Amino acid sequence: MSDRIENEKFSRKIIYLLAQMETMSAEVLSGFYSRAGFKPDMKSWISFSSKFALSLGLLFLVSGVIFFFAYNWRELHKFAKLSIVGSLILIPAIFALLSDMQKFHVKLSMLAVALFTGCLLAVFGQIYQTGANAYDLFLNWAILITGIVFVADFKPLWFLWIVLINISTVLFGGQIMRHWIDPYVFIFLFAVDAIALFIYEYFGTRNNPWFESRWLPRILGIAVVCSMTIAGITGIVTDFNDPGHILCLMLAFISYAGIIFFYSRKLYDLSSIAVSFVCIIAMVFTGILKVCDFNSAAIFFIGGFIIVGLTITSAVLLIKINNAWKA
Amino acid sequence: MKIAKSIKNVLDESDLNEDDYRAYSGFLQSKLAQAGSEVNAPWFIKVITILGAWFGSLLFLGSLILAQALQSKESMITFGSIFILTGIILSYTNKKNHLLDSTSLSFSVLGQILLGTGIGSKMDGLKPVCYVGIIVQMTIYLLAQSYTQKFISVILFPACLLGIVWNSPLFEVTHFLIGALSVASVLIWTNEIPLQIRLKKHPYFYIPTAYGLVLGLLLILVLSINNRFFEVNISHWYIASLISFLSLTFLLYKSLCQNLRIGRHAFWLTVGVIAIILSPTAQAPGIIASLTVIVLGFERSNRTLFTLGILFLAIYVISFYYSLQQTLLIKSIILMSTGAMFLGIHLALAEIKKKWQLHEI
Repeated sequence: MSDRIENEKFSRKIIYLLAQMETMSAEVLSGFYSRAGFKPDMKSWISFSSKFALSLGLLFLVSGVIFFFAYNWRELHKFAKLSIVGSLILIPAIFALLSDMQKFHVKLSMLAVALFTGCLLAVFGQIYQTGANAYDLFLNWAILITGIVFVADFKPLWFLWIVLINISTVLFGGQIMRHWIDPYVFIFLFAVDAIALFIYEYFGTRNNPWFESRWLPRILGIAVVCSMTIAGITGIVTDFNDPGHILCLMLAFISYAGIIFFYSRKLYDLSSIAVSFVCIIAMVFTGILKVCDFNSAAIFFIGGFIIVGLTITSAVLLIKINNAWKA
Repeated sequence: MKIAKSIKNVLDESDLNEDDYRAYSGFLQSKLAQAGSEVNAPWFIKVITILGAWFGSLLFLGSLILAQALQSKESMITFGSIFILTGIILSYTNKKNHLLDSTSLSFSVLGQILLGTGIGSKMDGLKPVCYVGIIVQMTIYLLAQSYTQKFISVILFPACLLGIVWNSPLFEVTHFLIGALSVASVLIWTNEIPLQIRLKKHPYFYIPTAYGLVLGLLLILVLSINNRFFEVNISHWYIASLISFLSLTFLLYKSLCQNLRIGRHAFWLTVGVIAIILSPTAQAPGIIASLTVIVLGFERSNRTLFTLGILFLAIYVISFYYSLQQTLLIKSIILMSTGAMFLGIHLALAEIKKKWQLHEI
C-alpha cells in the first residue's frame, strides 16, 4: 500500500478520479461518497442551521445598532444613547461570564462585546465632538478589546483585532504623517502581520489543534506580501525618492522567498505561494515598464510575452510543489 | 464539512472484496502519480492562469493595435477567429501538462475580444455580437480540452443570451434565464455522482460546467442589485426569486426527505418558515440564490460553493438594505428585528438539537 493512499484525504478530487474507472457504477461511487463523509447527517444539518442563524442574528443585530446610532436621533438624550450601547456591551459580557467559554455562542457574544465597544467609542465621539482623528478611534478600539481577544481565543476576534491595528496604522500615515503610501507605515504593517503570521505558523507546526484552520494565516500571508509589493512598486515608479522604499523592495523579496520556502518545505499551503508568485509577476512587470520608461510601443508585445511566460512558470512551479508534497 | 478520512480509511470501511480493493487502490495510485494532471491542480492555479492570460491578451491586443494590424473590421474578425481556433487547438496539446494552458487561454480571450469588437463595429450593434458569441461559446465549450476555457464559456454563454434579451422588448425573459441557471445549478450538483459516471469518457465537462453555472448565476444577479447602479428596465424580480425558491425547495426535498427521510410535516414546516423569512426579499433574488448556493455547498460538503454563497449573500444583503427607501432609523429597526428573529430561530434549533441528542441516546 503506497503512502499516497494512506495519507491522502478522500477529497472530491478522488471521487472524480474514481468516476473515470471503466467498471465504476453510480451505486459504488455513492457508497464511497457517503462513507467519506460528504453527506451531512441530521445532526450536522441542525447544527449548521443553528450556527448559521446565530451568526446572521448577531450580524444583523450589530448592523442594526450601528445604523441606529448613525441616524443620530436628536430626540434621544445623550445619556440614553450611551446607556443603550453600554447595555449592549454588558448583556453579552455577563452572558459570556456565566457560560462555558469554549462554546460557539459564547465566543460569538464576546465578538458582539468587541463590536459594540467600537460602537460606544463612535457614539462618544458623536456626542462630545472630541475632534479626534479616525485613527484614534480604531487604535483605542483595538487597545480596549485586547483583553477580550486574549480571553475569548476566537479567530474572528483575533482577525478583527489585527484589522483594527492595520486600519489605525494606515489612517495614522494618512491623517498624521499626511502620506498615504509612506514606506515606514507599510513596513510597520508588514511587521505586525508578519509577526502574527509567524506566531500562528510556529504553533501550527507544533500540532496545536487551535492552529489547524488555514483561513487566518492565508489572509495574513496575503497582507504580508501585498503590503510590501504595493510599497515596492511605488518605490519603482517614484525612482526610490524615499530610501524607505528600497527597504520595502528588499523586504518584499525576503517575504516572497520566506513564504515560498516555508510553505513548500515546512508546511503545505499553496495559496500563499500562489499570491507571492502573482506579486512577483506584478513587481517584475513594473520593473520592465520602468526600464522602458513607460513609453516604448514594444512594451505591449514584450509585456504580453513576459506576463504569459511568468504565468506559465508560476503554474508549473506550483504544480511541481503540489506534486512533490503529495508524493 | 471537513473531510478527515484518508483514501485507505474509506476503502477499508467499504467492505470490498480483495479484487475490488486492489483495483480501486491501484487505479487511484496510478492516477494520483500522474504529474501535472489538471484534476490534481488546486483551483487557484487556474485563477492565476486566467489572470495571466487576461493581462497577457490585453497587452498583445495593444501591440496588434500599435502595429496597425487591426486597421480594418475584417482584419479584426479574421485575427479573432484565427486566435480562437488556435486557442482550441493548443488546448489539445496540454492534456498531459499545464505548459500551454496559459498560452491557449490567452489566444482564446484575445480572439474573443477581437471577434466581438470586429463584429460589433461592422454590424453596428450588440445583438450580432451576442449571436456570434453564443456560437463561439458553444464551439469552445464542446471542442476545447481545457477546464478554464470551458469554465469561461459556461459563464459567457448566459451573458450573451442576456445581451440578446436586452436588445429585444422581452426584458422579463431575464427572470427565466436566471431561473434556468438556478434550476440547472441545483440539478447539476444534486446529480453529481450519476453525471460523473455518465461523463467518465469526457472528464473535462463536469467541473467547469458545475462551477460555471453557479458563478454565472451569482454574477448575473448583480443586475438586480440597485436600479441606480444599473439602468435596468426590469421590475418583476419576484419571478426570478420564486424560481430560485423552488430550486431551493427541491434541494431541501432531495437532501431532507429523500436522503435523511424526515417527515413531510417537518419538511413543509421548514420550507414554510424559510418562505416567510425570505418573503420581504422577493424583489432581491440574489439573496435567495446565494442562500441556495450556501445550502448546496453544505449539502455537497463543498467549501468553494459555500464560500461563494457567503460572499454573494453578504453583497446582496448589503445592497438590499442600502437600496431600501427608508430612513436610517427605520433601517436599523428592520435590521435589529431581523437579528432578533434569527436569534430566536437559533434558540429554537438549539432546543431541537437537544431533543435530537436525547432521542439518539
